[in-house]
Amino acid sequence: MGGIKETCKKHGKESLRVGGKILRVDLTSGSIHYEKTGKYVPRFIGGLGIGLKIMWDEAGPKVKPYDPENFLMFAAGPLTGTWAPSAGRTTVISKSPVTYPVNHITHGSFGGHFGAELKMAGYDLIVIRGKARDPVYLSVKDEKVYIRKALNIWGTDSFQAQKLIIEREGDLQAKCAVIGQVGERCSFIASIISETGHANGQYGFGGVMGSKNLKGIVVRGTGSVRISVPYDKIQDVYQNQWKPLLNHGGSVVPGKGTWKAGSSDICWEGNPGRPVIGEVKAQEMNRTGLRCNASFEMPTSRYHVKNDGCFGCVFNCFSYVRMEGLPYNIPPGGQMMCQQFGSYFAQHSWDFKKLRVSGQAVFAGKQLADMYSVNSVEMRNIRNLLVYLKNGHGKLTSLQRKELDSLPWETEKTEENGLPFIWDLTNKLARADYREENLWGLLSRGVVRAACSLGVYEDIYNGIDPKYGLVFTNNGIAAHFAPRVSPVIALLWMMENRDPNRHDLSNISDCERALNRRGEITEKLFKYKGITGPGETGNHLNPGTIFFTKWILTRGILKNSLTLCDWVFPNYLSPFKERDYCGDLSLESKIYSAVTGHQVEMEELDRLAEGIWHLQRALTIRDWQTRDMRGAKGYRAGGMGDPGGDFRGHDNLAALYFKHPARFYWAGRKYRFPPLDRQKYEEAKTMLYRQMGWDHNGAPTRKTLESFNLKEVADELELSGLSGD
Amino acid sequence: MNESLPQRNNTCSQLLDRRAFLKSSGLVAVCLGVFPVNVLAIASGIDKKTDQQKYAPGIVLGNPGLCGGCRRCEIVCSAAKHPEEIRPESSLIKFDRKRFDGLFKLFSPLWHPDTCRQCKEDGDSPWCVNSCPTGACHIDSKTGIRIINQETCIGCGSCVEECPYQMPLLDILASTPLAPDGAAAKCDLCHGRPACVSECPSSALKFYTPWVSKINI
Repeated sequence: MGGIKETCKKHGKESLRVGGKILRVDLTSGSIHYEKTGKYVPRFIGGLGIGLKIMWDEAGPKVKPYDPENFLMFAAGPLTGTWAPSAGRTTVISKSPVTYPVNHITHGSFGGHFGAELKMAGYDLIVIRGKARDPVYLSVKDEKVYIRKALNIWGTDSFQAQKLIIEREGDLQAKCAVIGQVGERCSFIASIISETGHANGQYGFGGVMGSKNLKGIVVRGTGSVRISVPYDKIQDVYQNQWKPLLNHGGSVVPGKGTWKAGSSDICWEGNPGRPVIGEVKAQEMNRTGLRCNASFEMPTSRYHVKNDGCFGCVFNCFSYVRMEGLPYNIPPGGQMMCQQFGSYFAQHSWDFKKLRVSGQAVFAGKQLADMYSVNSVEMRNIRNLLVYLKNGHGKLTSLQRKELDSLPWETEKTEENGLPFIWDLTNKLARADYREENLWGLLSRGVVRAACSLGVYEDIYNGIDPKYGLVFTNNGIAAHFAPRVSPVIALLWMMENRDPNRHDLSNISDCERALNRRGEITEKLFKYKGITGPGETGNHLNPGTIFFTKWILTRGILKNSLTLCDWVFPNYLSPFKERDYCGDLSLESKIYSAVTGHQVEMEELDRLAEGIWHLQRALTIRDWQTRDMRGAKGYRAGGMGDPGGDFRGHDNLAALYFKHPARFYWAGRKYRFPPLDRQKYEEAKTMLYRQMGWDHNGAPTRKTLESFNLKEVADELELSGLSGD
Repeated sequence: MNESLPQRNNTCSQLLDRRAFLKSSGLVAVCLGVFPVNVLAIASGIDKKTDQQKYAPGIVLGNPGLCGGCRRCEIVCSAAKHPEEIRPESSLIKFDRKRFDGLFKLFSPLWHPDTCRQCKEDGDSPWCVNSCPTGACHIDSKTGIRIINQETCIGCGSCVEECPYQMPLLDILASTPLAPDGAAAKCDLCHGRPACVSECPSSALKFYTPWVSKINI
């Protein structure tokens, strides 16, 4: 046990405290320096807010995603690493290569323990710039930061790379965020992986990491996070008031039969002890982490070993799945999430009993995607695009056709096993040559760019048979959830510059305990009628839905800035009758005040987050170089690797959503939703812009920006002629 | 450090080995099955010995079959001891330190928190108490809990080195005039109400108190 003694001798007491530092690393010159976080907070809250501000100040619109000048940031927030529930997330900010038609600055996040470890090491953000000459990895151990050569690690998959890095660092407590082969090859759809399933997948940031020759980051912190109000003073409030509220069970415990988490016959079948979980009651605070089970009714539920949680989580929503005897030497164990289960079957047929692939193929496909660090949601789209091409669509060259035929198609449709197909496809993306004209090179740029090059984008944009299940946003990001289901989701798809999915709506609509009263409760919370209710479709637009869209957008920014988990906050509903099933929307601000000592009310914190949302909007406008976000005049595409073509503005949806109805299965029931009404949505956008304080085309006005203390942003936009009227 | 590395390498390569998993999954079964039985066995042993005082009043045990690895136990443990900061390193419940044969959550599902065994008085055991040169680490006469009086601890680290389970630590946040580099700290069962147990969201942590009716905490 010399280790602990040594640690104590090496670090002075003061060095253990978090100093609020930003770690800046330039990989080109190898320089490492620090910056105080103080100049950004509390104005930009932390995490995402600081990242976007640095982006605004230092990364202009001309910076391309794979330029050394592009930034890659790993951000922890003021609540990360504290006792705040679910405060284990890390936000990643960079210019995304996969967004279409313009590569704009966006953000994603991942769970696990990386963010907390970063905070314990004393940093709020790691800001990486430049490009290393040789493959390297970044080692952060408290105040010691090294750029180390990664020659023997380069070329390994993400699991192996983490193992090698941790072994080389000699500290088993260290946490990694790494890329696999697909990231190394700068594919636009590469993800960043931590542990075996925590992925920052949707935005191609793995490719950005690869373009910097950065294999991974390993972080180890032995310091502490200082909290303002001592825990013993806040403990009673937390244990008796806040914690029970968090037991709302939103979509974590659907109870509608979706994942049957609440039913009495649930047993973890993959666990050698085979514990029977049974029903978890609202008061059982010591069993909240057992309720969620992403793998139930999925083909992998037989292999569920146990639940897995990120740092400080109270729900533990990940599944740890263990499946022996997988072919191709695929590691048998790994963390898995609902969306990763869905990777290899079509979005519009989420009928788990009628899957086209076996549980083995689903899990192996997830393992392969995470090992090679490719976005598993995009893999679903790629697979479905290939099926569409195989059926004779598109203009393929003879080489491309030959490549397409070389996949083991005979196994693709077989009931018991789609694995050889998935194995071959993932391997092609990880190992085949990427060239301008070959199929793998095109697919490595994401499904939307590939579809453009192969002449099927028009088809997909206008709608193909829903059985193919190609789902992407107007920004070219493979997305989940469906806009025709709810007007709020449709508006989010239009407004967000990232994966538009936020769980707010499902946290309300799937809460088992107040299911029949959700309309009433949301009315009470927001003073608007008809925000959500049974029987709604995408065309039920009203002032309430507009307000709620703005609310979700703002709160989304807040969650990524604080960093809190999308599934746990905000707290809309409560399981307790004495509270009339109402949640507490000010929980974030209460926890924030207690932890940071910066006393804010809910409205004030929301307003700070709204300011960050305006900053993000300004960044999108600056990257798009147009203030016409509504897209009335049409927009000429010009992103990286972009085949060209006319494109309507940022705030839009693919034409298919306005043309065709949606039909799908969910939890054993058939649903049908009518197509969206374009005219209604143009009006809705106008209303939303007005609520946001933007002009008719969706650009923030000077007045709005100045009211959020963003004068420098307004000035710069005006100089480039991008300011709202 | 060089000596310890090959050992780690060895451990890691075993992880990929299927046989190793089978062994370790057996271990889970053992842990699941044996922990309560163990306690009962000890409990039934007491009556025969009629020297209950040789045992601590209870023990916190982590169940690797249920633990979700959220480390809330470490968070509240460090917060309970140092209310102004969160420092999992100072936690007296140690999540996944022994990790059987897994890198952190990477290849093995056996992660769980490791806890103080509150060893029985028997020969050199409890090692932490018997190795303490100042008597700072002692058995509380009222409760029987093995605790450290940080006021009198000189931070020599002998309890840290002697404990076969590596549970005590020198807590740098608890530095005193006698122990400027940090006094030793070990689990004191929060004087009968372990914070980690009440916080665990997976009911993986249990406070077993077979003697609680006989000894008043």
